[in-house]
Amino acid sequence: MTEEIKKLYDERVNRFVTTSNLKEPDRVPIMASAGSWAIANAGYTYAELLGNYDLEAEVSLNAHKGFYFDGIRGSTPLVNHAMLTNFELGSKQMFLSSNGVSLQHHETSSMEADEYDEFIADPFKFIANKISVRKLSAFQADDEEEVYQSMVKLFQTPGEVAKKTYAFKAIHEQLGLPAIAGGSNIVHPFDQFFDFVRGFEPTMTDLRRRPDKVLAAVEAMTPYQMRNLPKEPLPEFPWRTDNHHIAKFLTKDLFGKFYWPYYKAAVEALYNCGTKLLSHFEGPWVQHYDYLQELPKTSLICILENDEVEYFKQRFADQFTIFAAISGGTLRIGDIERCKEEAKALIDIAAPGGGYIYGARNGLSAPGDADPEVLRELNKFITEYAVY
Amino acid sequence: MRERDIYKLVERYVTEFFPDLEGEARQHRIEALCASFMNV
Repeated sequence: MTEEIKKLYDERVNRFVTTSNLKEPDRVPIMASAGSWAIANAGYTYAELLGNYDLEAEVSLNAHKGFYFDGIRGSTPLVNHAMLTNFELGSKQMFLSSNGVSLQHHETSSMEADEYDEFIADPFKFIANKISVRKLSAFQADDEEEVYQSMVKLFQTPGEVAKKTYAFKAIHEQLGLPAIAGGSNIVHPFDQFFDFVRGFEPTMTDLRRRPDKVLAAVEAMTPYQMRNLPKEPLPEFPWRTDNHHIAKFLTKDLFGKFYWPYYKAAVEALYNCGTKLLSHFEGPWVQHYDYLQELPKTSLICILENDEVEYFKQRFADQFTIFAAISGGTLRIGDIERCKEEAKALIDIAAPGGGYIYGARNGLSAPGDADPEVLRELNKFITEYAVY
Repeated sequence: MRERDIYKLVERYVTEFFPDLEGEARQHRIEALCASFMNV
């Protein structure tokens, strides 16, 4: 990193750190939101980038150059190269769209309703002996040695991918863009159960028919996730991040019983170690706000997907940082004046006093999600308008 | 096929690739590897 880039990098980090401590930086920081949009915009498909580390670095650099960004969400590359091994071993959980443009998700359930007791008794044995075999056809081979070699490949792939991937390093060193989140993601045991064990519909049905079993299953996984929470002091920045999938479907009472205990423990663990949680409030979270009030001041940066920014600012201006941008619909329409008006209104509400990051609630994924020229002009406008 | 003793193979993997791990640390590694099967 050159001296000039290092200076840019430090300025950007300072913007994020200052605003997340509810103070006013020099201006509102702007987040990059490149996803598979960046790939399509460069004229490639997700399929073409899979396994091609050089092309990924080239596309990634171009997608972040000249857009007035201050940071990227995490050090995760544009594509998940490990998917190639999953595909090879017969996983059907994720698949490429027929035109190769995007990676998509199959809704699956890997556990039957009558298997709760077995899962609760030993979730790790159940996951290994039943779920893995249901998910990976390679684990169904007759020859046990063949299965073992498939397993070795599966376990070794992430490390090998990490050694070959340099897209983030290129962005970091050549453009001076910091990743605002690092380390391992905070994973809620209920989301894990919902996403990868029972699946969406069965879990929602079970919450009505056998809620005690669901709670026992979540609690069986909780010690493992508690163990993954940090216990030693951490640098304040970058923060950790998470994703929430089931929280938006829960009533206030169910959230309190099934979700809040681990979530609260995770936020407090990070806070006590000196850092914060960049928390993705997928869907509306307004029904859970009373719980959030219990959390320490400056412990959260809240990515608001469907929550009303004005109301959130009223409730939590002295407590949390808002992460929000104009609606994806407005950006997609591409009328620059309309985009600027919406951005102005948002900044006027969210920026005063600090505690605001301009960032898309949803990453750009489809080719038509944003006209690059409109995005560039909008972000340039924000660098001029959102000055303190 | 609905079931297979993959857990035993995970134990073998940990013995082979992390021979120095013992006790609780070994058990935690086994559990982390088993948990990783969820998201495949």
